[in-house]
Amino acid sequence: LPEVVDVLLDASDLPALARGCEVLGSGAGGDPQLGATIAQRAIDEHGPVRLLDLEDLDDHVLVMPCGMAGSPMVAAERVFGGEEGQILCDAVGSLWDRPVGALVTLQAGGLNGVLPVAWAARSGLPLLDGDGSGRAFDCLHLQVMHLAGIAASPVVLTDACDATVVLHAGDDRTADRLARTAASALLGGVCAYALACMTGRQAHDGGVISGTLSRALEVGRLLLHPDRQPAQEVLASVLGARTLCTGDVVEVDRGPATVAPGSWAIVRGTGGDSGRELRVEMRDGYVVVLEDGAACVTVPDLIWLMHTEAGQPVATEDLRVGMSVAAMAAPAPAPWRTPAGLALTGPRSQGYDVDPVLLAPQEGRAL
Amino acid sequence: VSGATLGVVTGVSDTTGVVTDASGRVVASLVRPRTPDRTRAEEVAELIAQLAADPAVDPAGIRRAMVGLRRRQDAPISAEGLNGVAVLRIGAPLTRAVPPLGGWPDALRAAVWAGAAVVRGGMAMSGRPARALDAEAVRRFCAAAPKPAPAFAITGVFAVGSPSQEIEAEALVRRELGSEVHVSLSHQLGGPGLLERENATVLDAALSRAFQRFQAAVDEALAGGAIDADVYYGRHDGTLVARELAARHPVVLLGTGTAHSQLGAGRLSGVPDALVVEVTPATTEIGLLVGGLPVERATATRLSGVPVGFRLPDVRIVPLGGGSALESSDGGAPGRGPDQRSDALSSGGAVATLTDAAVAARRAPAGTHPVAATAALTAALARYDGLLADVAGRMTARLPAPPPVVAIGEGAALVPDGLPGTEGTFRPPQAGLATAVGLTTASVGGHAERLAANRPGERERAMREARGAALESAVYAGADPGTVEVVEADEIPLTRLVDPVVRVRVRVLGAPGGRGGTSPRPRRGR
Repeated sequence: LPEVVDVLLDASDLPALARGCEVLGSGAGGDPQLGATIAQRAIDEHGPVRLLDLEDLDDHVLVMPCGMAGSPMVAAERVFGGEEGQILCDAVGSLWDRPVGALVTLQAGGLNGVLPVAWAARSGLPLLDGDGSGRAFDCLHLQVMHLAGIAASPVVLTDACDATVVLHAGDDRTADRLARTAASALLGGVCAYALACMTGRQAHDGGVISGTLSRALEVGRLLLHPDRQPAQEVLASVLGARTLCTGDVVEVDRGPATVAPGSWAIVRGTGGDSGRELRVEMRDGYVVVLEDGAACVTVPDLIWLMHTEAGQPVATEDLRVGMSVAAMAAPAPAPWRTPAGLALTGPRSQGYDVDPVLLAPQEGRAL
Repeated sequence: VSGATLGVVTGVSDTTGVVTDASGRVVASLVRPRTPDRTRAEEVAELIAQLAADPAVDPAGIRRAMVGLRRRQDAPISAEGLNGVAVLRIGAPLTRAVPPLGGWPDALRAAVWAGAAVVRGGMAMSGRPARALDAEAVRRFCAAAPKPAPAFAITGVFAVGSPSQEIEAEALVRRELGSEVHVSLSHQLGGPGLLERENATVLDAALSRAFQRFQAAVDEALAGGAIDADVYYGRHDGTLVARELAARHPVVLLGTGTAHSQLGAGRLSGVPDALVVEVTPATTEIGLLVGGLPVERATATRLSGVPVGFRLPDVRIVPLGGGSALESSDGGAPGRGPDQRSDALSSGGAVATLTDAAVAARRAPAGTHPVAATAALTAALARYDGLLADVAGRMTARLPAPPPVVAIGEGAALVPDGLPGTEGTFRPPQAGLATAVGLTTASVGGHAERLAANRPGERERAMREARGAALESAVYAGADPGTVEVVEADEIPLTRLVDPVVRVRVRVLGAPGGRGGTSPRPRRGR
């Protein structure tokens, strides 16, 4: 048998991982820096985390997908107690009557890409190199586990403080609604959660998108490299991203509104893009880009407004008039480009009445 | 505006002072190079004494004195001079995943460390207590504090908008350790984001003693010069804070200077939109002025690697200034500057500086000694021009029309004409006084944030409350209440909540008037 070489994530990898996960969040998912600060503490105390390639995952291992639910801004205020991962592992272990053998992050995009690193360090369990969505989505059933027929329930939610909640819902959409209500109403606006637990066999059979954490690391390392290439080039070379238009944010309308859709921004082209105007619809992240009334790219593709000067993606919550940005997009992971994937994550699922418009993936340059 | 205004700024290499009359005209000014054997306080005190003695100045007519402590925006905080801080966080069992001062550089942490505790308590997003403050734990923490008592930094979960537990904890600390203890409360310093707010609060408390000494020296110098004025200090965002507030929150003075230079550039040139290029002896700092105000940075501010959540002006620093030594052969790489300006070739010394290169090219006025043009000097100047052109091009790329350049600072003459993306170059006659002039013309700012349920009635109530709180904070900082105006008000819905919540932010500006320091009453936000 070939020797398996462990890939270890240690504290020095965290800045790159955080930067890469910020990119995969494509405007949503919260600031991974908080996750990196928490993970650094956990690694300092418990040592590095084994990053497990899907190839090396045993069929019989119980895999626990996990992350945080609720508002990233609330997370930045409440910070987390630190015991979340252990509480989730214990609860899942007793629900399944066997110990959890590996963790996998629900979403590589945003804070969720980094937070489970802390939980893996504290529990001593390996973390799979992969995730459930290859980006950030605001509904918990927007995961490849759902496509692979792995039930979300039982869902375990905890604030590691006042309550741990176990939900058994009849279907995944109900589970999503109940879980988000619990996070908002019972658990103070943010909590840790685990769902769609599966065996290693199911993980191999489409339950996990493989390799997304190493992609995040690769993006982050290039962005942080001392003689750094421009962010737009990094996204193009690693993720197959294309620049749609370079310009200024001239209008941001967050709607009267409680519920998106209704939030949008206008990017007016400058330089070579003078005369062009993009309308970018925002929900949790950026979901649809329109030019001259027609959609030119939509979810599930990854869409960014990259701050031209800072070379960093701008979160929808931070977008302001006057910023100069490059509107960019990259192809979504393969499972989302299937009919079932598009039905689940296409623009209609997010409340926009347009057909999906996707970029063609390039060989070797995608998630 | 009645009466005259004194503006003093102590920078990296100079201390500069101006006195302006009621119309804003500069009636007296003074620039003194700093010397290593004098503290900033001594520099400021001596300069005030000299200006007060200037025959063009009537000390009794000076109504306001503005003091700026200039540093490079990205300068590390020196551990020297910081006092110990007892860090109290209210939030357990939440927040323990990151301990207080987690992620701080070791030297800085060691310099301020006087114990830390995370006690039970904290507010909920709704503005109600999530759990009661553990008063007994606060008392135990006080009892364990070193003697004499350190300064305290208190930070509570969701204290912004609902500070009652921070105020309760402050009262407990004072009851245990006496009313003289310096206590910094986080809700007066930052917005949402507990760790950043706590970092700023700890630095605030750590600077309190050094700043007290500085302030005492300034007060003494003013009294010695028979000047009875309301005293303000420059704040990092280009506004002012009254003496009393500065004493309570010295951290807001960190990063001061650049924003005031830009304001001063606008004032001296009369141009509201400009690319401001300031050439100091060691650096060239480039910023954008839009509508008379400095443009803010998009990315989070870190001081010495510690994230603090401030919004600083967006300034690019080119590490070459008028006094930068040129390494001869390729004329390129920046070396250490001469110890004295008299070491420069144009002053008869032996060190080739960037100023010498500009003199040789007849861009800058001649010094006491002639400088012959050499290939190395020409190349050095061309390299400098290239660096400025690069930054100017990038900073102006997004503007609808090319702005003029306003060149300020002691080395304003070094700024080349025709920087890309710009049109025309202003070189105001008093270019070296821009920071001090900017201080004398700055406004007093106020700021408030609230969270509210995103429903019409609630949102409007939160906006009203935030306006009221921002006005109060401006008056607290020393604004004349009759002049305060809202300059920014936004509502940002938080993502991913089933019961939607909106974050409301209001910024106000007003004219200085009054001594400030009237503590705003604790308000119960939602």
